[in-house]
Amino acid sequence: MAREAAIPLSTQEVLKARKPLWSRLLKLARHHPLGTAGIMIIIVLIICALFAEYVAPYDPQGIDPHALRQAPSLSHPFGTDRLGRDVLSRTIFGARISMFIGVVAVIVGTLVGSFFGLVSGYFGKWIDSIIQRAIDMLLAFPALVLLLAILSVIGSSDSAPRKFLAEHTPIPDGTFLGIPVFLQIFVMSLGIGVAIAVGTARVVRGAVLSLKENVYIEAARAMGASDGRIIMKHILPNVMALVAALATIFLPIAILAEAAISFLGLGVPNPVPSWGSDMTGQNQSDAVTRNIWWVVFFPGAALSLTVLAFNMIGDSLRDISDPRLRGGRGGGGGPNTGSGF
Amino acid sequence: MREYVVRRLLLIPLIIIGVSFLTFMTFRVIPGDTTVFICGLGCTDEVIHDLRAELGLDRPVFVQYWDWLKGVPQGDLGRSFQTKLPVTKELQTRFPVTLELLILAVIFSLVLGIPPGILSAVRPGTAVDFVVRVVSVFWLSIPSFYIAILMITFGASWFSWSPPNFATGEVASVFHNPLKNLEELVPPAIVLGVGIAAVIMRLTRSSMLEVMRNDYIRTAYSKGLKERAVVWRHALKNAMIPVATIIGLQVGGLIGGSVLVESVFGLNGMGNYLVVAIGTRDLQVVQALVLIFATAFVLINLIVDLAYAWLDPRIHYA
Repeated sequence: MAREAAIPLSTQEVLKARKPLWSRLLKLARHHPLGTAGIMIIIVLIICALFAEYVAPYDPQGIDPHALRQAPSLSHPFGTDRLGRDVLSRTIFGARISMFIGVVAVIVGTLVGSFFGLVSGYFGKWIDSIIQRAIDMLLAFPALVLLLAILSVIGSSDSAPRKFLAEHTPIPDGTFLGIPVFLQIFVMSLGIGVAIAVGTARVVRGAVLSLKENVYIEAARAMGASDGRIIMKHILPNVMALVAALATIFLPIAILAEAAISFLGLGVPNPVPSWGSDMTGQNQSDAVTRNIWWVVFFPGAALSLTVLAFNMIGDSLRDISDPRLRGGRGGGGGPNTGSGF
Repeated sequence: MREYVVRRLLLIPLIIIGVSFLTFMTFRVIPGDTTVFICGLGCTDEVIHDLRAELGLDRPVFVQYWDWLKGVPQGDLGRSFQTKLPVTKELQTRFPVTLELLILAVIFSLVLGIPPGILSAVRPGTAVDFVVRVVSVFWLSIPSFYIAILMITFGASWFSWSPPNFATGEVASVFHNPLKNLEELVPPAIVLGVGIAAVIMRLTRSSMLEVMRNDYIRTAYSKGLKERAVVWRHALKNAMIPVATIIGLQVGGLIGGSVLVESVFGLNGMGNYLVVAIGTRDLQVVQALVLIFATAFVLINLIVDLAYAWLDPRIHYA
């Protein structure tokens, strides 16, 4: 704004024209306290995910026969479960699994989706028809049902895609990057990624359709630029912002999706700490029948807090971009956030 | 308009056939062998061979698909690999449960969502507005299955309440024993409705805010109408149009949510059936259920699109 000012500036104004970065950030934070809180929660979460080994007080899978089903106390702030495992440590390690699956799913989903969206929108004609009809078919499934269908097919250890990945790629089966049963969890993220790709492709195609009508595209073509060059140099940079926005919308949805399918017992397998799978099975019946509420309360609270943080950031971003609609239309953060998970 | 309706209606069977083909291929081609799962790991090749022949899995894929598709219009969705019973028999008791759960959830979401949304839009910037916005962000962020677990856990310890049918999952018929039926379905329906209520609340608020800025609202005020009349008679109708659409858009999420909530409450509905079938790799059942969910979703979206044009005469479908 300051650089666009048309009126001549006085010396004094020029001298104090631009405040340092931190003071501008501070001002932004003061005006949007909820968004700032959201960002702080996400930062804590990322630290937990990256440095879980150092943050967590116990081994998340460590069984302690002397401390079964203990209520929250000083030595176990979130209590222990039926095997004496520390719930706080499991919740911290759960952040790692959630974040990993969320990030991988979003990267895979937006990359694949953008590719099909670009191709479909740019080339049009029969390519567009085929891709769009395929997307129509996939969008005909409710999201969670589609996800369950995908995972019931690729999730099991003898499925063809998983065998292919195990035999032809260097992706390890065991612990890798601090994540147990890496291959299985990676395949799960791919499944969630497919579901994300469907939505991304639709939106990117729409953007490309209007972009390619621009005069500068025509100019590039007149100068003899190839399709590849036009896509890479002129169209891709213009859809990047949109794709980034989609990625931030899809991240909490992917995290919720992981929790939901793990909760149904079809996702992350049991000994591995995950917010979703820690709320189900034995823990759930412990909570209901023996009133061991802490084993399900804390993982669920962590999950809710994460989604809440993303929603608060989304709300603030919308306030910044369109102050007229404080609170925003559409769902929170995105078209799908209130997706019934 | 009529042309649009006809075109949409003609497209429906095509989409459903496409969906069924996709479903069938997904469950037949990609996964591992179901027969291994049925007879366990200690199976001999001979047993597997016989089993494949018995289940018709040894025929070409397209023949299997045609066989399956032929039966669908006659209400034959195949038999469960596990129980050998027809899927439709199981659905007779399960379909009404899920349908009623979804309808109740939509009703609760409207009741919980619209009045606070209106209130907060009519008094923007006040304490009421603030409370409504905070509540809606919280409701939006807490997953339905978490609310369900908390409800059952703390319901048991604080109020010694537990879902009346928790052990069996049986749901009383709405026609024979409506009171018991409601007692069993209202708690899960509220849990399911809360997430959608938050979306409706936010949309009602922003849509109302937008409508209240229109010239005709100022006219209504300036001709001396009371606020009540302006809000109810002039603003609300127009503000509800986007809300009607969002309910349609949320149906997919609601169906997904019903799978989760049925699973927590142990209700014998379609969602719970789907989860169990996936767990036991009863692909015939999974396939039938996915087809039903997708068909229902497509039909509901059609109804919503048509309702949209009916609600807002300004909209014309070319």
